[in-house]
Amino acid sequence: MSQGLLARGLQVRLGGRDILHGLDVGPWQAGEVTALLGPNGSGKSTLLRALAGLVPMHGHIQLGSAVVSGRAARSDTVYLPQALPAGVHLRVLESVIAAAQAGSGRKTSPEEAMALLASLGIDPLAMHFLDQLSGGQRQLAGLAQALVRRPSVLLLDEPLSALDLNHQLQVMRMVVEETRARAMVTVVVLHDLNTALRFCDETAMLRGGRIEAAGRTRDVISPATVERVYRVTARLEPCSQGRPQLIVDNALSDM
Amino acid sequence: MTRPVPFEGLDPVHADASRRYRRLNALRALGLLGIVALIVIAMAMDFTHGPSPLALGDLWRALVSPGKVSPEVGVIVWQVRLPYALMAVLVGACLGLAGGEMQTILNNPLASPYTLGVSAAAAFGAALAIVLDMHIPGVPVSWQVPINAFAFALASALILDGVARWRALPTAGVVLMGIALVFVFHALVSLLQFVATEDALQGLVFWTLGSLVRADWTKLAVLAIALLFGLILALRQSWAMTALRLGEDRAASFGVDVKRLRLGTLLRVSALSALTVSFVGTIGFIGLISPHIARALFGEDHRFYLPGCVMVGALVMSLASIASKGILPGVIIPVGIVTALVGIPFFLVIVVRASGRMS
Repeated sequence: MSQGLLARGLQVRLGGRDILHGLDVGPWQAGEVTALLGPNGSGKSTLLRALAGLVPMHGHIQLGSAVVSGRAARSDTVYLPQALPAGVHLRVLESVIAAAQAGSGRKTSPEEAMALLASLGIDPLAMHFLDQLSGGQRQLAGLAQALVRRPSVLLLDEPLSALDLNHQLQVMRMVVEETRARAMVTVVVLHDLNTALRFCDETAMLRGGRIEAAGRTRDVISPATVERVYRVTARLEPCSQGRPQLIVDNALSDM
Repeated sequence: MTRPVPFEGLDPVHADASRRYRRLNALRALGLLGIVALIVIAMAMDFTHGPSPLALGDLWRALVSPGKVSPEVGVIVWQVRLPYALMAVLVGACLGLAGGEMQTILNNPLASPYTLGVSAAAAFGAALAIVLDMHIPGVPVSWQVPINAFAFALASALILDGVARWRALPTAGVVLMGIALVFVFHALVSLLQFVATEDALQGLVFWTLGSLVRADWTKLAVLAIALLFGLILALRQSWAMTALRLGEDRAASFGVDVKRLRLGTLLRVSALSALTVSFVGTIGFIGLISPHIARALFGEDHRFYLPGCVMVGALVMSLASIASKGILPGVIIPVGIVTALVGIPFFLVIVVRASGRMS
């Protein structure tokens, strides 16, 4: 059973520029999905990479009662970037087995990997090459590569970019189900605020490397915070099914 | 728990995927053995080809009962043909492995010791020792050339990797940087040729053309040991390298120490490249071609891909060696010329494909 993830005073400086200015985030609980939102260049992906230990940082990251900052590669955390490199000549099943056995991993049988692919509904893709998959199929294959590591923390960097609507829903639904089933802390960088409203328990909104608002998603995503963070005017209205929907009216000109 | 298939048009019959995966791996292992058999055949052909005709029976008799062959045949078999044919196989294997590992750690289909300047740097290091007697103090005379070659090969590989990382160069940028290194080191070798004595110049021509004629048993033993160690160390990293194909960040988050993997691999690649350059000169394109063929045959599970690069490199080089004896009757053309003639069209095809992917 995994425990909450929190970070205090996270600072990241890259290329002589401060990207994150002493952020405090969390605690984000096990079994919940947290959205990182914010305009381009606000530091969402850098925050995710800092939580994964992939960029040099100052500050304090804690998972449950254990301080985990300062360790570059942690077996409890898996980070999935936006895309695979082009031209990878590996089959889906091979990639899942390699992900399980690489680094500090463990021996994994093809049957075990197949069971995981079946749980995500992509077992028919097992012998397909990764570079022949559609965007949505690749994201689910990536999710399988991550889940086979049995992480406590799953960090997803813009997993929905370049996916059509159908696949966005498929991927997010599976992310939420697996997060609940495996009691992981999942943090996902998103651009679509309505996706966050629908699927994410918690939300942190960033602007200029600082947290502008954080908390339960329905509390954070409001016309006021959206205007402050994105410089747009918006309304939050219930749809016919009763779910809140964000409707954007206008962009403010002082961006 | 099995979910319904979330994508349309997929075959729902998948229960035998684990079995298919195991069968695929068995086929790959068989494929590797098949290439070993082809290498033996190519070596036998390489052995029989040459200015004076020799039959396979001569080789057999010289190996099994050396007393039953004439001293002349014995000398040709043991001192000329056999070392030559074996050197072709070992050099090809080393360059194939070096190229395969470089393409993975640099994530670049155009990477090889030759195209990215590692071989040219090694040749320059060797030339410095030959022409100007410049070498690392305390190194025994017989090791000055290979150690110089290794030092420059490693330096060029580290410079290339460091600049690519520092400036976040894309694939095309890394290749251009490598080409710049090739030009720089070729120009420096030309400068040394210009100031070299006649004797030293003859030696230098050997480095620039790439030839197997100086093969001997000591060099073969050194190269075989280097290849064995290189392959064992590479295979110990095979899962990490396979994961690296999924992207550097992804591999790092799977627990792969990417920096250490990259440095260790560059050291191995530099050692293998430097040894081959110091023994047979700069031989191009084997390290580029072999990984592509190995990838097509064995995929990128590095447990099979890395031995595949070794085997394919050995086979292609052995075939090039045969061709180098058959193009002009009675003359052995430096094998580096043959590999360049075969390799350049292949290189252009890869450039076009890589450009397509990048665009």
